[in-house]
Amino acid sequence: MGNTSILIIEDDAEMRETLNDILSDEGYKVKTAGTGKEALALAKKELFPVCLVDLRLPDISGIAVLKGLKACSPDSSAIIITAFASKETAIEAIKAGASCYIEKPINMEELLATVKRTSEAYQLLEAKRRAEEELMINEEKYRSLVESTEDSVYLVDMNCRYLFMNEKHLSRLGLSSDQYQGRPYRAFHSDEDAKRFAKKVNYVFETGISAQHEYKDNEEQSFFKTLSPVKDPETGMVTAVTVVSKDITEMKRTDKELLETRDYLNNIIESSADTITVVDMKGIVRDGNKGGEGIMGYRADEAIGTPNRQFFPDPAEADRIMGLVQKKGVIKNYRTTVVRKDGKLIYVSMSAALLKDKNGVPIGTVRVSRDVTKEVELEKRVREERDNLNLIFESMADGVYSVSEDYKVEFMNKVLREAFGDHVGDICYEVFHERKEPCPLCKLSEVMRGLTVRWEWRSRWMNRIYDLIETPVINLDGRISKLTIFRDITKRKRAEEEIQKLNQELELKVVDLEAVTRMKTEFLSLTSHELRTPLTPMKAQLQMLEEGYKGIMSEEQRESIELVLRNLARLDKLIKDILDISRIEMGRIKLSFESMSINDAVKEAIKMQEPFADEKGIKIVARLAKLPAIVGDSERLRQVISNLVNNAIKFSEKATDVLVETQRVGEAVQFSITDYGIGISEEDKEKLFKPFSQIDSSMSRKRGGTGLGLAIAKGIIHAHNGKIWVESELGKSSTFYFSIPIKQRIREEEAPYIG
Amino acid sequence: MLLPSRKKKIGIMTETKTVMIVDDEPDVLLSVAQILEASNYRTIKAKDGYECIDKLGGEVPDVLLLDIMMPGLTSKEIIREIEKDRSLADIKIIFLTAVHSLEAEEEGLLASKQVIDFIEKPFTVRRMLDAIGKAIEI
Repeated sequence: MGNTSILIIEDDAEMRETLNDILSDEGYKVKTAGTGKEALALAKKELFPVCLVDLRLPDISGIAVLKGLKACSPDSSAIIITAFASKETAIEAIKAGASCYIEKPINMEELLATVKRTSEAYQLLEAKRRAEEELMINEEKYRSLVESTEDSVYLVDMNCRYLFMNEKHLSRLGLSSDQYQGRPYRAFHSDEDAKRFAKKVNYVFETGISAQHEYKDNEEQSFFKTLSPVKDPETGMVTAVTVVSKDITEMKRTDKELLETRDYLNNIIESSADTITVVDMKGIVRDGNKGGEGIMGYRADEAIGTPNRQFFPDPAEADRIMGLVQKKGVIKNYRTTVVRKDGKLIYVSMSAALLKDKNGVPIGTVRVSRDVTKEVELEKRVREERDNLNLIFESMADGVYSVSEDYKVEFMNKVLREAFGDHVGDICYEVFHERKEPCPLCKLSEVMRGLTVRWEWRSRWMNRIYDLIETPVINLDGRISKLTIFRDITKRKRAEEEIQKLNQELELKVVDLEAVTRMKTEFLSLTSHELRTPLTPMKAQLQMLEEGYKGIMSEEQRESIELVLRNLARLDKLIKDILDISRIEMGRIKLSFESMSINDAVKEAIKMQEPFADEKGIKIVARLAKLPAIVGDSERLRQVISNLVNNAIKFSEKATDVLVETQRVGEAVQFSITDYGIGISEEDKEKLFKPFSQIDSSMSRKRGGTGLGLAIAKGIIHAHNGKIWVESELGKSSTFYFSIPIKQRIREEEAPYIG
Repeated sequence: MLLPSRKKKIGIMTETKTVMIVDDEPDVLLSVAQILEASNYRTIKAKDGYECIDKLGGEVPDVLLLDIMMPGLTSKEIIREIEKDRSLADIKIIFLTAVHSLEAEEEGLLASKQVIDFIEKPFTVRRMLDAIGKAIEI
């Protein structure tokens, strides 16, 4: 039993030591106190399940000490030691909490027995209390466990009545804690489920073995319940059943999805256009999907069980592939050729992986093959086209090269190779421009963005100008390169610039020339006017002499006067013509429009010119058609016709006819006059209508005339919106034509007066 | 050239008619005067616009032969002066010039009702006498 702490409170030192020795020998842990105060102080520090108390103490009464001890540890037992036992004292002591008393002189055996009994009683009490405490803690632990779990936990009796349920289950059933006691399971579940559940509960009750129960409520929630027996620890009989109910709705759903995913994957594999085959290590086809049929022409069941060597044109290829997969574990996009069932060769891109069993031993390969025949053919065609293009580039006189996105030269055509050497693989800016970094004008980034750039590069360094076209080209592997075509346009550019400069100079000259022409015209106009003024009194005086105003003259004198007058008339005519041509050139010719008859103008002109024709023995033949009136300046048109008739007479051979005709041609009247004279050459026709550019000035002088008549005629006809031209056969005849529209389109302010 | 007809004066050429000639060229002035005087006209000569206006204050001619381009007063200004004076309203004005009639018209010289003809320089004696004769007849 031993080691129970015992406090001895005894004022008699000898007695105290004796008791101490005896109890210590018995194995108790003993402490002693000589006074009541000392005892209480010890009791406050330490627990003493058994105290031996001498009732007669020097300081405090034994009863007071007892009370004090009880206050410190109510469970402690006190044994009173008293020399004079009186009934009153004993009762008082028991009242104060003592468990028994021993009379002095002490019978040691009795004391030891009493101490032992008291000590054992205390220890029993202590053990019981500790057990109760532990139970309480355990209960709390289980309760909190039960309450904190996500699962529903409840207890049912043999009749499936609820004995307990945790918060989770309460909230699931929508109950409060005071509502469930004694209510049956079936009140909250379907009849069918309740029946099945009851069966399971019965089973647990009868066998004492746990059971499972799955249940799906009407809201599609699934629960998995574990039923465990609660056994009486003594009898081993089942007293209740605990149920742990797990919500497995989510789990079920995930399971379903997994199943569906598996189906889905199977579907994909089955419906894949690619051939998926499983080939074992011996090269025998073990599995295959339907997709294979489309590519290879074999049904899965035709291929399964056969060696895969038969599918390759070179059976050794099957071994090679197997070797590769074994070595690397996985191969990707391996290009090979296979033979279709119909014997046709097709290109496939194959990816394959090694299959291993649980122990890591290879058991086969799974292969996915895709028909890439079209791609391969396309690539071939692209490559051929590229080769063709390269051939074209090679023969071009322009420089052609391509660089990768990291400035590496990929291609140079012949022209460039001859100029720079072969630099394929070198960095473009280093070899072409002797730079350490990309050129500032480089268009690589634009081209990489997909833009085509055309620009002009003026190299000050080389003093050349280049026309560059830079464009992205996509390589077979998808990379983009910059293709540059450039042409030396230095010569062309220089020429263009030269032409531009010349044009500018010419423009300036034209401006100058226009000013000069205007000045010339104005000068002519002014001088002509000034020339006429002195002519006026000269003519007047000579006429007076000729008319005899100043007396009678001899015949010789008169001839002299007439000669001067004739030349004066010529001079006057010249001045008048110059004035006219000046007006025409300045655009200042004024016409007096009226309704008029061309035929009348022709008749008048012929009448005026007839004496002159007669002199040369020339007959003027007129063939005048009936014509509508036109709108025109009759005086000016008569001047034109007179001039043409006069010219015709002048250039006619003697005694020939001059033919004058008028006719209507469409919406115009046309005049023509033909002479049978020297004719006009083609080149002269051009000059004919230009002022001061006589075909032959000496001829003109000889025949009389100013050389301005046709230029004036042209000006006048043009002012009538008409045309004037000449047709001629050199040495035979010339015909001058003009035509004037019958209806004039004249601006409002120039509207003719039509009488 | 025919100009619109005016109020016709009926009269017989019995008395001597007066023609004022205005021209800055003395030779022209002299020649014209000689031609007219030989045909029994009385002439007044003026070498420019100022002299013309001045002399018109002294005597009113029947016909005024007026040069178009002269220094000093322009013919336009002379006509404006004449039109202002009611006593000069009967004077017939004939232009005598090297300028083309259409250009003169453009200048607005033919606008005046008193301007009745236009003789281009150099003129013929016949043209001059015809023009004056017609002017007197009106």
